[in-house]
Amino acid sequence: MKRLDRRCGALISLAAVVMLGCGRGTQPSNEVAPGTAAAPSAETGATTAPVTEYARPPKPSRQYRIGIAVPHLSNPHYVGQAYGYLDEAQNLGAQVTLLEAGGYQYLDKQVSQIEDLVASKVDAIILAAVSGPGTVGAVQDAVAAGIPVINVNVMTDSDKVVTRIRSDDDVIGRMHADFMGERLNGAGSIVMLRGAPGTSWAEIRGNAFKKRLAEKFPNIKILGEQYSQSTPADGLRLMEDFLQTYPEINGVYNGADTTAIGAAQAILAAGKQGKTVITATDFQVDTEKFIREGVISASVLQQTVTMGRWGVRAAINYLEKRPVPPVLLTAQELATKENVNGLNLENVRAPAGWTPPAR
Amino acid sequence: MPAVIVILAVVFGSLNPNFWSGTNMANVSRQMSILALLSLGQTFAILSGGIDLSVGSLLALVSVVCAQQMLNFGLVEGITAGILAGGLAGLINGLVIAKARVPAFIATLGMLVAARGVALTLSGGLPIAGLPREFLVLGAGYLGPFPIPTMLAVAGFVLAHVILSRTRFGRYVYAMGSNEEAAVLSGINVARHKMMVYVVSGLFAGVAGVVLTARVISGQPTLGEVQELYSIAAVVIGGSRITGGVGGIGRTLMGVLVLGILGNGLNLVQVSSYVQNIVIGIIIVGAVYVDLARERRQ
Amino acid sequence: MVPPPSHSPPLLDMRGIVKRFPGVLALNGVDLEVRAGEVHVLLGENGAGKSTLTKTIAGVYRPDAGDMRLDGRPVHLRSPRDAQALGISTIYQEFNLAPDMTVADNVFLGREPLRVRALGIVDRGRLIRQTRDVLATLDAQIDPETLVRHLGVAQQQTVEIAKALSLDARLIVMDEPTAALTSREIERLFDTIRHLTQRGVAIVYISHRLDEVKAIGDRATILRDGAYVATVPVASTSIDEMIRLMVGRDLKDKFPKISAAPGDEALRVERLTRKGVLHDVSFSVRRGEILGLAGLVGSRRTETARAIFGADRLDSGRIFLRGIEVNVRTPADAIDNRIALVPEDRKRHGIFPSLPVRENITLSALGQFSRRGLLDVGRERRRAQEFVSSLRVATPDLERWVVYLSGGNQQKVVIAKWLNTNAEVFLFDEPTRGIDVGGKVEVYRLMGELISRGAAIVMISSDLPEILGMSDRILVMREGRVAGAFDRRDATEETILNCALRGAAPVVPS
Repeated sequence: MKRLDRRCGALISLAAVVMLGCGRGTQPSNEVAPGTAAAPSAETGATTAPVTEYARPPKPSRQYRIGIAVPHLSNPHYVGQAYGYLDEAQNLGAQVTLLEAGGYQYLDKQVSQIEDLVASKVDAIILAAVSGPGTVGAVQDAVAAGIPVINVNVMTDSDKVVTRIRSDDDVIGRMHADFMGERLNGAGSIVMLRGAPGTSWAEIRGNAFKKRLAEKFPNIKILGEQYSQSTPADGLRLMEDFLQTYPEINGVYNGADTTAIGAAQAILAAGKQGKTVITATDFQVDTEKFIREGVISASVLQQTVTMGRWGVRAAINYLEKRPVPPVLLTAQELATKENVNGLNLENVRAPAGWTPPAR
Repeated sequence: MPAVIVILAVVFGSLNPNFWSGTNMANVSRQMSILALLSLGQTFAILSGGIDLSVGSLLALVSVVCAQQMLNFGLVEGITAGILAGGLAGLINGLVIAKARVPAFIATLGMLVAARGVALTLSGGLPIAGLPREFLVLGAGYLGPFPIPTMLAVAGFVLAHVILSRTRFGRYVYAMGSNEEAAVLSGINVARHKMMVYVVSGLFAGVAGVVLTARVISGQPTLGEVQELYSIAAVVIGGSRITGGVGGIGRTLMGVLVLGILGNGLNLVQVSSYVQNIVIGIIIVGAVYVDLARERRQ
Repeated sequence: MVPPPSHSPPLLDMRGIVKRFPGVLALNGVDLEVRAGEVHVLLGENGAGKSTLTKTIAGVYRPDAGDMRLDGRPVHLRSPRDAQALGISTIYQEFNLAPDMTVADNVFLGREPLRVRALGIVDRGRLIRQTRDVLATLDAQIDPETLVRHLGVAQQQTVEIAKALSLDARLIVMDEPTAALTSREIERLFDTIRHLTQRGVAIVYISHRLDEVKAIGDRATILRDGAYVATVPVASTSIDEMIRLMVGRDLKDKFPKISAAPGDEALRVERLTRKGVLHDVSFSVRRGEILGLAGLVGSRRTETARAIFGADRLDSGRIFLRGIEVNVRTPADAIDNRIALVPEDRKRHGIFPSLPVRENITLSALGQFSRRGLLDVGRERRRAQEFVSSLRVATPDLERWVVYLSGGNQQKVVIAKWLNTNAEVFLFDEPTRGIDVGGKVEVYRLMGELISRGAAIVMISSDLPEILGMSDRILVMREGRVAGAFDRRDATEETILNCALRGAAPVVPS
């Protein structure tokens, strides 16, 4: 038996070396942002310029059934978006099935949900993808079955979608960089909490942020960057670890606002509020509170409700055989302590007390 | 148990006739094929008196290894590497359990955590894209009217059934689960066969992981969370005894069908997934209770 | 044995008890009348219904018909707790102890003396003291704080008895209580029983050891095939008569005369040593010969057998089979070398409870049924059926789980498993423990057949009549060493016991 043990041990070591060795070689580079390959960027000058206004079409003659798949509904960002979907559908007389995958890590669940929507023969599918590459197959199947797919918020790598509706993530990234650079007077050390790995928003925003910083504020150093799920708990944990590792952190970039809330709590616990610049994206209630208290310095608001509404509008337009622009960009706005009272939140949040139907 | 399945199917079928449609059946069977493959391996582990908590994380590990090696070398090499990675992890589990004599629960729990760590490390936490489009066929393709993953799961069932009921290894699995000390004293090399059990479980996880990767056409280090628990649930709902020595592949098939039909049926009648979890939890306990009650009456 | 007053109402009066199980009529109108202060023996072969009857008394089973009275008042027991509350206590053959708890914990399980009643805090001091008292009445040298797992079979038995005694029962059922006790312990147990009966406690005593029955019993009720046969006064009934009533026929030969011409040396062990366990154990057995291995509990006979079988390791020593030295390091090696071990504790080491009879029989030699990697179940079935018939294993069919068979039949299945491996050297460890008279004879006959076909047998037994009746030569062990050796003609119970106790006896060259 001892000989067998040694052989097993050798086999395992060999395999481990091979795996680790070969693995390194194909480390996906952070520069290749998933989802951008197919989406024409505003800067490359596509033949059709991205649209930034999108009116409600007339109510269609018949009731369409629309299936919607989003990553999760435990984030106010998606709750707002859900309000957009449902309210708009009500206005346009469409019946909606809203499904959530339970989190960015449940790719298998979202693929299954898309398949189920296809099987129940909905007229159109609106998809906020849990993963860029992972949803390619499912989208392909849907389109092959004659069901158009409208991609909202988080991009899929598939090029078969009817249109892509999102914030201009490049602009968001740059807005973060501009704010951070000015607040820090062009010099300092920062960390990045980028958000969910493999999503288009985390990639594009983060890369645009870094690029802008390198161009305009070369003296700002990025000490470290981490991906995580979009929850305050993850933000808290990562920020605490960063604070332990680096004695001096002047700024924290957040791809979302859930991680910013966690980071803010870590900063508060360390007593560094007011001394650390925290930027976030989105505007849930806790984010607003922290901005008023001066803990979070600024947040870039996304018009997530608008994204929802435009998703439904695009679907109806396509089904009514009207042309649909390939890219629709919703507006963004920077919120700070100074302007927080004057903000119009109609397109940013669901009405107070509204909850999506249990799904 | 078969009666329960028929009742469930009839009930759901009447509530939503879409249940019986070809596409729905294809979908459900394809979606359940991953869990089915995991449950096959889990059956071996549980019958032998042990358990494999690591199979969910192995899905992630296999996915990452498969994707990376596919990009490095090619389609077939990637698939092979993925399956072997599963088997290798199973071998490590087996060594720790059979040689170091660490209880299976603890050993595979450690692997659950470690394997996901390895998956995240190898991939840098990011998904691995760029896999050849032909690979998608394995996850989304059809063989005649049947989805390929479903055929693989069926093949897996047949193979596992033959092994468990018609080979010496299968007999020893039951013997170890029924009375391990008596197995030793009957001349069975318990250490070697225990190791084989976990290698088998790892290989099934390997196949499942490759199929799942094909479905999402990318290597994903976050796959498989909680799946190990569902694989245990399938085995237990089917009627195999959690302490080992009683049960079989047929029973696991029942368990997988129950979970699949329940999940799909409840989806079709628009029951929220939160409520679905409550229902499944109740069914798990209920199924075991019914089995035990029947045994006690004997 | 105080003769109980004959006009007092019986303590326990059961009439017309019927109990059915699927496919089996276990009790068919059985009567039992037990008086206070008597030792009432239950006799019958395996499957006669003794176990079912005692479980009915204990409240585990509810009778399908018949009635039960305690002190003349009708009772309906719904559970063992009801029985315990009424003063009925049972000591089973397979113990109900928690191995990872201490002796004291086990004895008072569920009735621990409490220091603070409301909070349920146990008074450990009193717990230990009370346990010590109970153990003292049994003259048992057991530390109340030992874990039960670390006690030998006999000592665990003592703890069970202590548990029942501590319940202040009025009727105690003892199922084969002396199976694993030494003579000295048996005497002590009998003293305790007499002490109890003098206080008016009744004992229902099940045993296959008829000489013990004669020593301790007042009356005996005989059952056969689930039916009531007779109740007899023990003093005036001979053993032969009791056997006749039990089996319905005369069993002339309790130990069938077996003799086979001993052949060449089959097994020889030289200086087997394991630190702290075995020391320089050497002996040999020839083909056609039965070597009886006698000794008191703790003499390490089981460890010797396990070492030869490769189940335990050896520090030094050599093993020779047919004169050729072999290396036996695992049970698989032993099986390859045609050695078989029928273990002492079949529940823990012998049977696979959730596997059918067929699989239990074939498990150690599956190679015989393997064709191109797959098992030939039909062939298995035929072979298993052969053994079931020739050993007369009582089972409705081959697919029944072994756990549902009675103890004696389970033992037969274990023996069948080893017969199936075509072993040449058999190590039997207490082969007839818990088997009825008729069954014992069958096992002895089987052993006779084995040696007449050239096998060699080493038989560990604590039943001296069995050792004397079956062995050609007798080896006595004491504390891991060989204490003495006898030829069958020269041995008596006294000389063997003497040797086992003191290690002083003439060593007869074999």
